[in-house]
Amino acid sequence: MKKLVLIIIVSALSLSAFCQKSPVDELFERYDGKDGFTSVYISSKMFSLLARIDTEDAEFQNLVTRIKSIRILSIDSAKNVSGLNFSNELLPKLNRTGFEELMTVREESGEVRFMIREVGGRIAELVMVTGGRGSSVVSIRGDLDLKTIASLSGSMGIEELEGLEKVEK
Amino acid sequence: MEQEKIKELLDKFYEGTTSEEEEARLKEYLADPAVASLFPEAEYMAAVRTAVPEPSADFINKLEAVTHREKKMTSREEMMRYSMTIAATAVILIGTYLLFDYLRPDRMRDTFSDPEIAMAEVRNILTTVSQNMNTGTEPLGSIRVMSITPEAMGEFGKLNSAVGKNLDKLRYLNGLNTTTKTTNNK
Repeated sequence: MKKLVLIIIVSALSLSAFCQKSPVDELFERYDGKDGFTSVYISSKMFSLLARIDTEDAEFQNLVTRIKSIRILSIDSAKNVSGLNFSNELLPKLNRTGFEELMTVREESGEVRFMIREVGGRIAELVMVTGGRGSSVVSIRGDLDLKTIASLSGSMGIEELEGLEKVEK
Repeated sequence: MEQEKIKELLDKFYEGTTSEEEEARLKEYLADPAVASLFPEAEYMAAVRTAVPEPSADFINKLEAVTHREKKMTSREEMMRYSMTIAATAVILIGTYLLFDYLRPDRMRDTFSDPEIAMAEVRNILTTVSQNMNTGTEPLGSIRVMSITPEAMGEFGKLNSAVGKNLDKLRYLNGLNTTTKTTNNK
């Protein structure tokens, strides 16, 4: 009887450890589909279809093949009466669950934070959290190459991004 | 008449359809040696005992010895067995959880069904992320300028280089002066 109880306890603990959801997942589950929130989800299945589409931009194509999913959640600033801010809600939890801060951009309009989660030395998830009234969260999962992402907008030379290469490896 | 009745009972007995009462009656008939001699094939009936003998004192032990063989497991085997049980239970629980999670009605579904539209949206999202990222890395440009060698910075670089060379000479002369003083003192 004692052994049976022990087995049940150990199994329950292992299950609870396995099923612990990431704070980003929890946030999306909580607000997805609610009034005043807009969400976009592009699944791994869709990305497998996107990988087959030929684009002229080989770099972008390569980037797309490495992404597993993209999720966006944003608050409609006009309906954000309660002053909800994803930065306050998400960032403390992200810090506790293996995410590291990549950079913070503070501007007049608000604060943008980039958080990354590494698995086996590779960036497995990039989370961009925008503060302010029109707060939003962008979560990109896959085997990410920050240098390529940063070079997409083309507003800056590659030399400045050499520091990001170190983060990538 | 009696003989026919006995025969009939015997047939029923061989077919296995006699009741306990009929069997007792048949035994009673056959107990009579005169009747039994008429049915030599039913001789063994007299030898059949109806009373069940009491089991001997060590009957249970003997029975257990034959039927129950307990295999003593080593601690390693026991540990292995428990680990397997835990793993199997965990797998079942996790599998159940994943199944229910997959079948959840409020699970996030793909926003776009057309890959072309999805592709445009992905490009848009990634460009936005990229722009924000570049806003954050712009100051790194100044750091890069600072790491450029003075020669590459034009007139200011030349001046800086000349000052540096003269300072090196002064440091060298200062070093020579210190060495001379030490020698004189000796």
